[in-house]
Amino acid sequence: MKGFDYNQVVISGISCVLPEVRKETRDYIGVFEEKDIEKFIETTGIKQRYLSNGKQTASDLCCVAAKRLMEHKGLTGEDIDALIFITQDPDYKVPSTAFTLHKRLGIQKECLTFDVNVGCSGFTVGLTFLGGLIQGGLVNRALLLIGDAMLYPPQNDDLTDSLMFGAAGTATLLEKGEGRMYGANMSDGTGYNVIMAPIPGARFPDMVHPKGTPDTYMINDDTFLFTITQVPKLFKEFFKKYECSMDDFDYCMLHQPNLMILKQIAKRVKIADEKLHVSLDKYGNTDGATIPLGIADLCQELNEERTLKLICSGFGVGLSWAVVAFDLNTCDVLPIISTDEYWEEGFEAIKCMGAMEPKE
Amino acid sequence: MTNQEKLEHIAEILDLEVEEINEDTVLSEYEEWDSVAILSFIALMDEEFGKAVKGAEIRALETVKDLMDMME
Repeated sequence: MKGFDYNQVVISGISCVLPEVRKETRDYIGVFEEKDIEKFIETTGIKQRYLSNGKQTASDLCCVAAKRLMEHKGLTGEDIDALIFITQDPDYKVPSTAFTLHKRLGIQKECLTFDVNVGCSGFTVGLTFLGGLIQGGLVNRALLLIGDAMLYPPQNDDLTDSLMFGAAGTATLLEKGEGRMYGANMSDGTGYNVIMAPIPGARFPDMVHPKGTPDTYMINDDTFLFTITQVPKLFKEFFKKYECSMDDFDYCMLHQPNLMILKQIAKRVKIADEKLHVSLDKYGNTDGATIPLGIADLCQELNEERTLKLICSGFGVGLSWAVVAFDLNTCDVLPIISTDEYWEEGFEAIKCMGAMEPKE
Repeated sequence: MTNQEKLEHIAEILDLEVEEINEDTVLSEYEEWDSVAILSFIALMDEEFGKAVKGAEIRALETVKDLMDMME
């Protein structure tokens, strides 16, 4: 493990937004058998989630989160020089949804802007490269927007997909300043097909999914084995390289896929219960948004001003996994809010295509 | 690991008492032998034996003895 160690990067704000639609897992008793629902809750820990109202996309949630954060920090569009949007469900195939957010947030033109297609490791991947750009002097102040709002209609044949994922939009502000951010980022492309949404894509130009949605599939056994072995291994290498241990951190913020995986990682990394913040019971698996959302949930719970020493780990599709550590002041983390807003203009774009019909 | 210890691990995964199972127990007769139990067995194999076992390999097994034979 080579790792990275920045000394000029500060996380100076986090803002998280949920949709207003809230669904309890037990609301689906009837769609699925009660005993299956109870077993699902016991194993995954997911008791409720928030879902898009049908018109809201991940970018809508991130837009509200970013506006609120900029207002809180007294910033305008003139102050931002990088805007990165990490999602699994962009508004359009082209262009990067980040450009629509660039417009909606009124960001000035000398701004590095693009989408990044990574999933559950999104927060740690984003911190790694935006931190690097700041450390290297290319960027002074960056908005890292991470969100997902995929709609998974309940499907009888797949309880997991139907009940696992929740929607959330997050905005994290990174700035040049006296602050340490350090960690390591890993990838293993041999596992590209372990978690995958193969269509629609250029490999299969003529195929549509029978259910009409660009479903993601996951080989659960392989994902599980990858997570419970590779993530703890990286923690161990991190502790060795940076000569530290869990004792040096106030909280460990893990991606939140399900309780079974969290318990396995906690056991193997020896993370005490009181240091592992679990938030999936309230929000489900929100993909790349789980860590900033978990941080906001933690700060709300703590309800006091203090500097937290955090160690975070995102892991998932790619395969991609990382451990990143930094300090964060709780007063820079805004309370979580919910919204019903969506971007009307976003629906106008399709008119440029001529006579397009919505699919049946 | 002794056979008794193996049985204890398997009983825990199946959420049963160790007295309720033996080497001849047929896994498919228990509804507790589900995808979660298989993930638990994958974790056990990694933790106790340092082996990376595929879910498909485990699903192909029929009896408690088959599981015990894998635990080496």
